[in-house]
Amino acid sequence: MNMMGELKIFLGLQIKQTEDKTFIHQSKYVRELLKRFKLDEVKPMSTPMHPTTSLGLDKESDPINITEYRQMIGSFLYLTASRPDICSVVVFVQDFRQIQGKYIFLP
Amino acid sequence: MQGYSDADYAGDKVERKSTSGGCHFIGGNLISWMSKKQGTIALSTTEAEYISAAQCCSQLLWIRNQLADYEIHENNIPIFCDNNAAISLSKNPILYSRAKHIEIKHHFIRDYVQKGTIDLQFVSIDEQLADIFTKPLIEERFNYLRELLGMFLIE
Repeated sequence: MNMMGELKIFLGLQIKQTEDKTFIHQSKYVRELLKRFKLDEVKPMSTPMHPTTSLGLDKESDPINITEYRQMIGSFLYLTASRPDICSVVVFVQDFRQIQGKYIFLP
Repeated sequence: MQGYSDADYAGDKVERKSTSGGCHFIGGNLISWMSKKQGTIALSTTEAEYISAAQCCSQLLWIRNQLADYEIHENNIPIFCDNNAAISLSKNPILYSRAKHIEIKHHFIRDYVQKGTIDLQFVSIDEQLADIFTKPLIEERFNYLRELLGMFLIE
């Protein structure tokens, strides 16, 4: 890749090269994602999910936008290309994608 | 080249399906990973682990074929599994009453173990890197495994 200089971005993955290591990341994509789903002002957590948490349906709250929910899952699936650590949790929430409109999901 | 495979038995509380998880390394570098709910309902932890190992095996075989294009030929590729019964099942062609229902498609790993392409090995649960792909973990273990996968905070 001498002609084009150092490789910085490839198929949406940002690439960072140091002396002895090469890293891939998607920090730009994550920032856009948080903004798009208005998650940029929520409280940050250090791990994606606690072992004792169980997910279920919340029948009392207002209906959620199922299209937006699916868009979120799709976006997170794309993010697993550089984030193996969130892989299992994305698969977890994916189970609820087929539920029709009425419910929201309790953490 | 090496693979890790793990399963969370009946992780899905509604459907009672198990979750497979696996990650694959070339020369110590993580190159692919997967977390997937299994299609069939496993009757035992052994079966869940066995299915997961078979899925891991198919991914490694694909990587092996890709490497063969570059004249790199690998044999005895280790898959690390934390269930001894699943390992025995892959080495022994006898059908036991508790394993006779397992779908044929999951048994293809046996063939590759016998040919010597794949080597199913035992690893203790502490060193099981694929654990992170099957279930939510406590923070300490999560951070430990994440580091072993080669993920670091940059910038």
